[in-house]
Amino acid sequence: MILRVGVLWGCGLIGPLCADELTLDGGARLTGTVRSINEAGVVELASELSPEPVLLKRGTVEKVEFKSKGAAPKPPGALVELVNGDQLPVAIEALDDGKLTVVSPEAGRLEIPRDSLKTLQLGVRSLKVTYAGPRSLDEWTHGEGDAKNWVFERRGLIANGPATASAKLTLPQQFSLRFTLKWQAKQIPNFQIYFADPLKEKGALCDRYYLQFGGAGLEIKREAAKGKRWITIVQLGNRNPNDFPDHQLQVELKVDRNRSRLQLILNGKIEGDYIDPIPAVPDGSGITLVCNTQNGSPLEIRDIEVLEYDDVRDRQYSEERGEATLDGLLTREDERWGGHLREILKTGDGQIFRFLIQYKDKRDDELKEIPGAYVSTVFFAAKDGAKPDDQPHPFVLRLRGEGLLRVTSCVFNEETVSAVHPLLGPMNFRREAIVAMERTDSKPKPAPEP
Amino acid sequence: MIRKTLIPWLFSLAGLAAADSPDLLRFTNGDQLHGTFIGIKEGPQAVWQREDVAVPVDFKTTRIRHIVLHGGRPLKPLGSLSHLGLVNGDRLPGTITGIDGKHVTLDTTYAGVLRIPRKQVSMLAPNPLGGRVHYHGPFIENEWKMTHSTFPDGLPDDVKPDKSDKADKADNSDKSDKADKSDKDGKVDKDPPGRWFFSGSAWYWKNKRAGTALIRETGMPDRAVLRFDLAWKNRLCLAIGFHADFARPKPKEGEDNKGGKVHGFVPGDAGDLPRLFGNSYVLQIYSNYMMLYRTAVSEEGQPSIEQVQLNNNNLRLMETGEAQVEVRSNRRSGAISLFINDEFIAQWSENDGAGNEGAGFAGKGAGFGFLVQGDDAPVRISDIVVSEWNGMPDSARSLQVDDQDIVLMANGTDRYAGRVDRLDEQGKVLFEGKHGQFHFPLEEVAEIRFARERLAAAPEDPADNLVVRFSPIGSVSGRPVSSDGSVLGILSPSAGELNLALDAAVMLDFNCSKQISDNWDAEF
Repeated sequence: MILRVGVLWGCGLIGPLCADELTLDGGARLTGTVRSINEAGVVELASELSPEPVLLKRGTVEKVEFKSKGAAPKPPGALVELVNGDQLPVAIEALDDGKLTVVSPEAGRLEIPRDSLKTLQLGVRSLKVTYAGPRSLDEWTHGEGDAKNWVFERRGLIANGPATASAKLTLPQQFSLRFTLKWQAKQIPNFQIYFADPLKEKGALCDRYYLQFGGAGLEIKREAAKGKRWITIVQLGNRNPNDFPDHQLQVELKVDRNRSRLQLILNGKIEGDYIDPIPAVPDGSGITLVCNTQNGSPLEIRDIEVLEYDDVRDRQYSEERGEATLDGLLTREDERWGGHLREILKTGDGQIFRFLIQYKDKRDDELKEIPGAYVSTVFFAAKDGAKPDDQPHPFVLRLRGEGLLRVTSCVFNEETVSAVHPLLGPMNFRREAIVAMERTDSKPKPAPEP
Repeated sequence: MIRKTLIPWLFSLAGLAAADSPDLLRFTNGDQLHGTFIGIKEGPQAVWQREDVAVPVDFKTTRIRHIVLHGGRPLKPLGSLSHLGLVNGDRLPGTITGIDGKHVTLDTTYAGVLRIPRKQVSMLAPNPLGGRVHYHGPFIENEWKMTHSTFPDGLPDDVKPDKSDKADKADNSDKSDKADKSDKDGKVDKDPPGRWFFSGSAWYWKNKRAGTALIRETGMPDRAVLRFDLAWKNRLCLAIGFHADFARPKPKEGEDNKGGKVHGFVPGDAGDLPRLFGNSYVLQIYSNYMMLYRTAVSEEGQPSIEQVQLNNNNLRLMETGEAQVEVRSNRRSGAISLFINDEFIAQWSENDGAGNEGAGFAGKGAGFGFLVQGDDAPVRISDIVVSEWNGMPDSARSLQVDDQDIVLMANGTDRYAGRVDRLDEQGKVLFEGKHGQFHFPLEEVAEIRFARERLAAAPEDPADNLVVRFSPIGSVSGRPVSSDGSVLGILSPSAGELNLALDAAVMLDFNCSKQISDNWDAEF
């Protein structure tokens, strides 16, 4: 899950990176253009800092984040998870008892042994963005906002003193709110971001949430119109400005108002899931930005996005696997069938999943067909006696569209990347498919128990 | 199936004890009488027999709170948990033998074959607990044990329960009095520990002073679901120990209970938890937050406690209320999760890392138990079920549709939405789903929840409504018509006129309030 979210941030949804960025042993960093990584593991980096390419020895580079080249392409619609936890975005072609045939936009046509499959998620799509901005200062001057200390810059608002801005947006019942906070070096920032805010006049009692970030850390509070007015939902005293050497913090808040749930993601990593303890869930659709700073120490809030948040995928993925010897098929309506997915066929009307629903008495088993458009998730039965993967995988490749592969070797050149995957064998990717590459010296953790 | 062998054995024991136990009549004004319920006659009036009265006495049912039959133990308990639910909240135990477009047929041991209009039936539960049940109760008092940090082997019989007047006195005593009671650790209490009360099919804690744990030393498998109904008054503060081994710490020098000194319990103090539960997990539930602890007793006998971190400890429970609590724990994977009223609340992950299966899991045993941690915080615990993790229809709860019937399978994961057509001659539920017709063997169905929009409205309870409660499960309500003490005629607004054999009944509830705070009284 953490990896998945990390990729979203890395994909350029927040903003394009300007150059490849290398993290070296000991936390050193270099930027430039990675020209190649050869079989010996030597990284060739073209950098403005040096007239000649810098050759970095094998083992010195911890991580490479590649610059994005334009917007990420549309996801191919399905995400395959392998038994070792690796993920690959693909389009499904067919499945039989032996293999799943897929087409990866990054690695071409692949045949994946059925024994290597853990989960198949379908209907994977980009989340619909209902707001992306700020686009102007005008749209953030709803109600009593004080515009005098704000300066608008492309997709950003900069506060040069105490400043408040509000906007009434389209906030679905389930939404994801993303933004980036920036501050100056040696500055203690003080941000308050109110969300699901009914935008009532100042001081009026209301139901809303707010995130507060400053010298004391990060806190999410619930403001209530009735009863105790402020209740802390989460307090992270260990997330204070000094922990972010870049003086910026990417925040994502996933809010499910149907179930009174919030999820906080900081710099692409999930901090936790939280429950709103007050029954009257805030139903406002406003966002209010508050920067408390002295003149001369600007604070910046930028890249604000509101997206639809559909938790079905996450919810189904996190379900108990149930009987390990059976496949499980979950539909878009949240039904779940247990048995054996016999095949996926291509027909004139689209894909058909043929699924044998199995009961205790085999004579009762029922073979059903369900259009692929109604299938949301498939859990594959665990192979009997499968041994955990204990091979070393020195590299992790992060691909566009939530892909993640741990590979035993990889070689980069100008156009392509060649890698050897322990389950899929030799693979070739288009270079721009790789969002990041990390070196891992330790063995990967096994996939969680089904 | 363990369920099929275990439950009859439990019930036969209950039946033996029930035959010797008198009935108890409790009035709305708090008066009570032991004796024998011998019937209901017009009025309606309950007829009561006692050895010290010449002729049976009639009592107005409007003045009766309830009659507890045979000390709360059925003469002949029901042999199965299968039941159906009516729109008025009744749960009729019995075997489902027929479903068609208009009726559901239920074969019962207490009223014969019942044909109930389908629109009155909100739910069928042929296998309500799905998989293997390791414990269901409480039905038998002595299957449980009460322990206290001063009495880790169990409260001796001669330790009398904490009386309210004593507790009040203790509460009102001045500081110097309290100082007299303190030892060097400030934790000595001359009052004996309080006791849990067993009543009907529930345990009650209603002592003013906390400190006595109610435990069962066995019953939890490695992958377990512990589910129970919880009701509380005032502010909730309950600790639930699970996967407990009840290992005993080495007593401190000079620490014993000679001279009647009882180790005092400080409300809310987690320090006693390892003394009570040993190597265990202990979940503390308060009205608005929760904590999970690892408790341990080292090989040297040293107790210790450690909080398991969780970013959000918030809960949303009311003062005075009821809830169904479900704790799932998996010793092998280290996963622990909490559900309240079917809603996921929190998850913890222990056993980090490969090859560490079970090693990092603090709970070393198969026991579980309860401890009220606050003063004057009454609690009722009932309908306790311990089953295999996968034996619960849990993930199925994600289906929330009003316009479709929902079938939850007994494997705990599979579920279908559509329309139940009928039960065929082969015992299969014919089901029309969005993706075709299905034939579910009834023995593999945990529950069927009928589409809410096709149900009749719940009828109003009549003024003289009576609820007959069965053991281990079930309740039938209606207007009492007549009874000879062994059979009760009742007019059910949903199921019509019924003649209920009372062999499996444990209580006749005459003034049943839906308010839980009015509906419990353990002292009988």
